[in-house]
Amino acid sequence: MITTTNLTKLFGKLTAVDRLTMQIESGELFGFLGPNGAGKTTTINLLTGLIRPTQGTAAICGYDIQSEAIQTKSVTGLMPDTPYLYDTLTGRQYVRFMADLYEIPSERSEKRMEELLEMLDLVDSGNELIKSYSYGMQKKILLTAVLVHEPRVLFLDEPTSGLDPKSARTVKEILRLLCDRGCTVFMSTHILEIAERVCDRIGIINKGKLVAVGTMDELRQTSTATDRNLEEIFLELTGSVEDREMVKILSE
Amino acid sequence: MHTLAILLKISWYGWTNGFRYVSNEKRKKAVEIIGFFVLIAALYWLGRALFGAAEIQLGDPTIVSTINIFMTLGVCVIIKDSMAGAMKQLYEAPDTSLLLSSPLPPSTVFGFKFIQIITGNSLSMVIWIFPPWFALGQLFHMPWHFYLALLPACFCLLVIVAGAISILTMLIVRFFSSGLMIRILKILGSTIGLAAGFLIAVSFLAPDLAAQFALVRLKVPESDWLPHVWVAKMMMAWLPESKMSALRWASQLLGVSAGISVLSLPIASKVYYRSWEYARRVEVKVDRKWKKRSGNANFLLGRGKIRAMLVKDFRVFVRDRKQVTTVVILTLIAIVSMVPAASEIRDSGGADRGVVIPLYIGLGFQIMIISVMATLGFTWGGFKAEAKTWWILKSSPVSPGLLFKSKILIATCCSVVFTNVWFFMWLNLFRVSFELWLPILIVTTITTTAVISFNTAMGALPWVAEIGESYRDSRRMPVMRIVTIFFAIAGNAVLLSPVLVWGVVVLGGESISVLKLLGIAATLVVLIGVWGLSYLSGKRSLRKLLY
Repeated sequence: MITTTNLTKLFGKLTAVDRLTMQIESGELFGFLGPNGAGKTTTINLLTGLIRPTQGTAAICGYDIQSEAIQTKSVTGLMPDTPYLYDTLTGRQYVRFMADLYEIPSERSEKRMEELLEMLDLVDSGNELIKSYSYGMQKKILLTAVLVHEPRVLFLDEPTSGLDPKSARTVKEILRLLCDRGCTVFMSTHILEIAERVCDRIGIINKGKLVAVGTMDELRQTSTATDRNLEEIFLELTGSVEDREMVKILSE
Repeated sequence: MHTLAILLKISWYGWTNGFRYVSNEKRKKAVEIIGFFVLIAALYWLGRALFGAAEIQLGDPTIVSTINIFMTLGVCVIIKDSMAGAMKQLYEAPDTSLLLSSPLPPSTVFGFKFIQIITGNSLSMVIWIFPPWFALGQLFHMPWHFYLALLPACFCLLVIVAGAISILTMLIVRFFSSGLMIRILKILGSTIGLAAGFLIAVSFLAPDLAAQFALVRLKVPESDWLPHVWVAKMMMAWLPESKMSALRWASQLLGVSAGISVLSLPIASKVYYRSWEYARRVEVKVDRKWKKRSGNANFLLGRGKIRAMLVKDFRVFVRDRKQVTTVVILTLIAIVSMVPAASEIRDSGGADRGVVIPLYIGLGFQIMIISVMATLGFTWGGFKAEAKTWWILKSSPVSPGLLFKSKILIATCCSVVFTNVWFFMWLNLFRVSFELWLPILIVTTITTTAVISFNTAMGALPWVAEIGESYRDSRRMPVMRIVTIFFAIAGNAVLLSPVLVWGVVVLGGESISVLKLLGIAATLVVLIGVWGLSYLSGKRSLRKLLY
């Protein structure tokens, strides 16, 4: 469903993504982890066509992201980390606008929109201007707009940040449900607990390079001790173990 | 005091870091400084023209009333800037929540914000108040300490205005906070700013005419209760033959500015935090009537990509206070221009071609320019306004052609309606024969469409839209933007001229020969060609921005 080959992005002298090669299957919930500045958001931006790769190729549902951009975008949905939206539209108007861009028949989009608004507790605030929304509400309306056109591949950048526990749980359930129906989800997150519990496979990126990819069991096998949890594996792979030991010493 | 010093130091670091690390910031500031110098020069020349027109002599009381015209204009702009600054610094700045949630008394936070408001407005003071005084000083060969005294006097005036506005803003938000009230304050601020900008633009183009108008028609208040009059009287005391006492006005300025600053602190300690809470609670809700209307819009326009884009652009436009204020002011300007023209034509009986034709050209050109200006938010600034939300379009299945078409369509629809309404009135005013209405309106519509597409194509250029990697990567962009602005202004002037030529032919009462008709047909072909070229150029630019 998602295939990347030597995908590279340079910002001047900085290599944000370094020869990323991976494959994600249909119906898979893929967790993309990495420390701050590792290249997670850049990878999502590359795959969704927000920025152009310096080198390498990527294909989504068989469409090349560069030469078949429109076809690629018509099967994908993006929920970025920072929700910049049309402040002067209401929540419902924004969701309708997105449904229209993806040419979803109005009866279907209206029904789906109301279902999603109900699930995410936005029924009452759906007719208020987006500028009056809190950060969490903006993320929820963003998710509604992304899901209204039923994308085959969904890219989510920190989907649960800023959400209350109830909404975060709803989001996790929605994502699981989508994957069961065949949708592929590519999700970056800092919350390792979510990745460990929800994702089918996990990729760990550090300084632009994919340092590990696989299921939890496969990741444990690459680690020095097989009984480790994701946090320990993550710290080992991203070279943060020394930092943690330093914190321990300081706290003593 | 120590905390305030820390806050100011951090703010200073933030400001200087902007220059040191963000190279684009330097270029932006350089362009802004050029703009400020142009404005200062405009006001200086206007000052010279005004004092020259008044043929002022030393000891003449006209000096005070003349300088008061400038002071009133300057104070209006400072009031507007203080309103915007107070709203932004006290309630909208991202650091406000952080500061108010820290263990700092609200009066300290207010003190810090108040200094930021004053610092932010000092440039307005230099631009709007200093130049006419310099013109006066040069005219009467004033000594150097005249210019030196100007700075503290104007600074006191700035503190008084900014202090009063900040206190009023806090009280309004605390006791009358509502989305509507905040919007009214913002629209009021934008209206003052745009009106002042328009006045200066007109004055710069025709300083003698503006001077005559100001001296004959303008009556500004000269009450001793107004602080800008104190500045004027204090500065007048430096004139050689003046009998005024500088000390009285200087002490009044100093005392009131210190008093207002001191008074603002206890008010802030009581009101600021609560008003900030209220401002956060204000929810801008769409009323029921609007909801019903937007439902109708969907019903009328149906669904689909291009319609979705049109409806979205229109909604964003009509809910943007700056755009609405611009359209209201431009409409007022059109009305103000029409009324004297109508009376002039009535006085001349409509037969005097020497009166009618210049009026026709002036008014027709004005209507076209106003109509083009009213849609600049869609055309020139349409893509730039979407810079932050560009990711939505970029990650959606939207082609460059579709995006460009939707912008052109909405701008053309609005502009054609706006232009033709005015042209209907204009045709009536000039008593143009009914059979000529249709050709004139067709030429007008085609011209408007060509100009709109030209401006939209200019607005889609990466260095104008300020979107995308290609824009961020380039170092020549501010220069490119200035060159493009000049090119666009020249292009607009050339494209708008056929309407006037055609009108002069019609009104001139000359016979319309085949050659003239061919000329007009050729012009229309050129206009259609411009439309086509703009479409291709816009699509090409958007391809760069979207992919």
